[in-house]
Amino acid sequence: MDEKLPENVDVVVLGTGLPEAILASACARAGLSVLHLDRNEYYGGDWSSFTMSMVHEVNENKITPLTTEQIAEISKIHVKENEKLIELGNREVVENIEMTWIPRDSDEKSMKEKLEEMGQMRRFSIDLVPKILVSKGNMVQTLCDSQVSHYAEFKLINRQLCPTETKDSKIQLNPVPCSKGEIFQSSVLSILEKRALMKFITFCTQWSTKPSEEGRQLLGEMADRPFSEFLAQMGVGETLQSFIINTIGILQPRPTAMSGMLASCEFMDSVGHFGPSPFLFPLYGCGELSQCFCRLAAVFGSLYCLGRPVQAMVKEDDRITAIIANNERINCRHVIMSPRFVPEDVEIQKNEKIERVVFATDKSIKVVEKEQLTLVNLASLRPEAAVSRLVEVGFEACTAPKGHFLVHATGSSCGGDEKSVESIAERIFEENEVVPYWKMSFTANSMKFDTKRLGANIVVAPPVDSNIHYSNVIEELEDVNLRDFSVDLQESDVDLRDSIVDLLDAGVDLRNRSVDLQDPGVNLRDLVVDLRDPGVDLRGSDLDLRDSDVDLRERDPGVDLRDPGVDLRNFCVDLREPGVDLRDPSVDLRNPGVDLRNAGVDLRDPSVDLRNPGVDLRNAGVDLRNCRQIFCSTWPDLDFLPRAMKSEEEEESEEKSEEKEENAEETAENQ
Amino acid sequence: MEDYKYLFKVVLVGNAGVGKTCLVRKFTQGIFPPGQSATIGVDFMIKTVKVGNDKIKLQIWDTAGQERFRSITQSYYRSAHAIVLVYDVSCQPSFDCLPEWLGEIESYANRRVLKILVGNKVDKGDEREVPERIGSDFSDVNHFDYFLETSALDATNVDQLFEQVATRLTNDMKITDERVHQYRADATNTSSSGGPIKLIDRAQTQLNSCCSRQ
Repeated sequence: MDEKLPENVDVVVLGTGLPEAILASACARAGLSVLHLDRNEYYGGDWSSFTMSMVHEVNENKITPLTTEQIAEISKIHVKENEKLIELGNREVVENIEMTWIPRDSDEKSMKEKLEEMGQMRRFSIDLVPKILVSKGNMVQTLCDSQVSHYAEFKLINRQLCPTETKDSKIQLNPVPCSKGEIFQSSVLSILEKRALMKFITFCTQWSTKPSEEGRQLLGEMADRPFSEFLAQMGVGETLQSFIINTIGILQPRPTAMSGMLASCEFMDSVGHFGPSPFLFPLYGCGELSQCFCRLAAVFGSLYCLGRPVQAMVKEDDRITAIIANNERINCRHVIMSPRFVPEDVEIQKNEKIERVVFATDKSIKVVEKEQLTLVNLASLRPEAAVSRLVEVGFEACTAPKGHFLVHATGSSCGGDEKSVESIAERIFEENEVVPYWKMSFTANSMKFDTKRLGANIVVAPPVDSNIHYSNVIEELEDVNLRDFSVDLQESDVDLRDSIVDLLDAGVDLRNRSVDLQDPGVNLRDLVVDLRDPGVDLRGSDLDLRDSDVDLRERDPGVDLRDPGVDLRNFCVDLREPGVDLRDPSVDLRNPGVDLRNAGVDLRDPSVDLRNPGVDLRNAGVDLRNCRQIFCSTWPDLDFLPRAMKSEEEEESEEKSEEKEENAEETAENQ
Repeated sequence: MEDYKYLFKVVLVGNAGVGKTCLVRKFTQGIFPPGQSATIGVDFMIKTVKVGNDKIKLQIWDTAGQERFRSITQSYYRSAHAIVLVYDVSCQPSFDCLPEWLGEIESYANRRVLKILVGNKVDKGDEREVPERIGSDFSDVNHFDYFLETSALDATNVDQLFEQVATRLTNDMKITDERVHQYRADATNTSSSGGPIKLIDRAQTQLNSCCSRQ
C-alpha cells in the first residue's frame, strides 16, 4: 500500500478541511493535477466529525518538529543549490481539549459501557465546527453547482428556540414561529406583538426588493445604529425586539439596522425553500461536507493520500517549488494549505478564540413528540459576547444513536465563568432535567496570517470561524482564488493555455454557475448539442474503436447504444469533463465517425432519438435527476470562461485538435 | 413520473487494480475498457434491470481512485444498499487486504447493508493465486450475503452479479419497510414528510415545471 507519491503536480493541497477540499475540487475540475495530503488518517482536519471512539484519539495525534539532523538529511537529498528548506508548522487550531464521561448515580452501568456493548459508539458524529446551511445561501448554491449535493443529504433545522429569562431567573425556551401560520398559532406572542411582527415581515419583504443603496436610504440615519433602536423606532416592543434580533436576525450577530435588515431578509428569503425552516443540517454532521468535496476532486482525478507526514516546503526566490512529504519530494506550481500548516515563524495577524463545548445526553433540552433538530441563540443571555448558541442534533441527523443527542455550544469568550456558553448550557440542562453523560470542551483558534512573505504561489485557506453559516468561508474562497492567482499570472510569464487560467476561472465559476441551474432552458439546448456529438462519449469512455482486436459487431455493443435510456445516462458521466479530453493528445478528435459506422451503429440515422431529446425528456422513463447532471456538466463549455478568454481558448483548442489530427495521420502513416 | 420501482445505491470497494471499474463498465456499457487509465470524471453509472415485473435502477458507484492510498471517504459508504467487495483471484495481496476493507465497511456502512464478495479475473486461469474454496470460505466466515467469481474480460458472471444484487435488494425491500429512505420513486414527497433532503430536489422541481409547460 505504500505506493510512491507522484513527483510532479500542478497543485499540492495540504489539509482536508472544508475550505481546502473546496479549493481542491475547483482545481481538479479545472483540469489541474492535484495531490491532496493530510497528516491525519481521517478527512476533514479541523473541520472534521468524529465517532465517539475516534474522538478520544484526536489528542494523541501529535507531530514532533523535525530535528536538526532530519532537516540536514532532507536538505541533502532533496534541496538544490539555490533553494531553501522551510519547515511546515503544526498550528494548534484546536487546543485545550478535555473529554470526560460524567458518572450518573442512577446508572447501574456506566453509559460508556452500555454504548460500547451495543456497538453504538460509532453512531456518534461529533462535529468540531457545527454550522448550519442557509437554504438560499452561497453554500447550498456551491453544493448544487458543483454537484457535490449528490453525495450529501440534509435535514431541516426544524426548531429554533428563543431563550428568555423569567422573573425567577429561569431560562424559558420558546419555540420560534417561522411561517405566517405559525406566527398566528404561537402562544408566546401577544396579539399586538403578532401584529407588529407581521408588519415587520411585510416591511422586510418590500425592503428586500430595493437595491442596497435605496435600502440604506430608507433606513435613513438609523442605518448604522443598532438594529434594536431601529426596531424601537418602528414601534416594536422590547420582547419582540429581542425575538426578531436573535431569531430572524440570527445570521448577523450584534447587528446594525442595515446588517440586521439584510440578515432578516436572508432568513425570510430562505424560509419555505426546502421546508418551513430556512436552515439545513448535513446528515452525519458537518464533517461530511469536506469529504464530499474531496470525493468530487477525486472523481476529477485528484490524488488522495491521508496519514502521511508532510514535513517541509522547498522555496526558490519567492516561489515554492516543492513539498517534502514522507521524505519524498513533490514538485508543484501551487500550494494550498490549511492554517495548521503555516510555518511557525509566520506572524499571526488576528486570532479569534472560539469556546466550544459538546455534551452527549439522552434527553432533549425540550422534549416534544417528534425528535427535532434544534437551534438556540443565547445572545440575549450573553449580550457582551458576539457569538453564543446551542445546536442540538441527534438520531434524526444521524449524529447520535437513537434516543441520544449531541448539544454543541459555541461561543466567543466574554470573561467570567458564570457567563460562559458552557455554564448557560448547564443551567438549561438542569432546569430541564437533562443530565449529560459525556462532555468535551476545547478552544478553536480562528487564525489569520500575513502570508505575503511566505511565497507568491501559496494560498492559506480560510480558518475555522465562529459564524453560524458558511457564507464567509465561501466568500473568502472566491477572493483567495482570484486575487492570489491573478498576481501569479502577471508575475510569471504564463501563456493563456496554462492551467492557472483555469483555476482563475474556477474561482469565477463558483459564483457564475447559478445561471445553469436557474435557466434549464439553455441547458436543454446544450443537451441536444452534446448528444449529437457522440464522439465525445467514445473518447471519454476509453473505448478504442480503432483497436482492430475488438470486433464490435460480434461483441454486440448495440444493446447499449440503441437503448437511449441507458445511453443518455451514461453519456452524462463522460461529458462532465470534456476539457480533459480535449487536452489529451492521444485522442483522435476529428475521426470518430468512421469507427462508429464500422461498429454497425448508425448514430447519424435520423430515426435515432438522440436528436429529439424533447420527447425523451418529457417521457416518463427518463430520470431527470440524471439529466440534470448533463445540464450541469455543460457549464465548463459555456459559462466557464469570460467571453474574451473563451474565444482564445476555443481557437487554441481548435489549433490543438488540428495538430492532433496531423499527429494522428502521421502515426497512421508510420504504422 | 419515473417508472422504476426502486433505486439502489451499490458501491464497489477493493484494492486498486482488481477490476472494479471494468466490472461496472462491462455491466452498464457492455465494454471492457482496455488500458490502465484511471477513472476520471466518472461518479456513478446507472443501469435498469428487471426483477420479476419490476424495473429496478442500480446506481453503481466507483471509488474514484481513492483506494490507491486507502483514503476512501466515509461518506462513500453512507446510504449504500449493497457493497461489492472485489479482489483479484490472481493477486494474493488483494485477497489479504479483505479484512481491512471489512473493517471499513463495518465502521461506516449501514449495518444491514447487503455485502457481496467477488473474486474477479477468473479468466486468468493459469495465474490464479486464490482458489475458489478459499474465497467462498472467507465469505461464509465473514457473513457475506453472496459470493461469486467473475471475469469482466470474458463477462463471466458479471450480469449474474448485479442481477443478484438487484434481486436480493428488491426482495429485502419488499419484505421489510424498515429501510425507510427516499428510495421509492415518489422522492418528491420527502421534504414534506420529514425525510432527508437532497439539494437536487429543488432543481428537479424547476425542471419538471419547465418541461410540463412546453
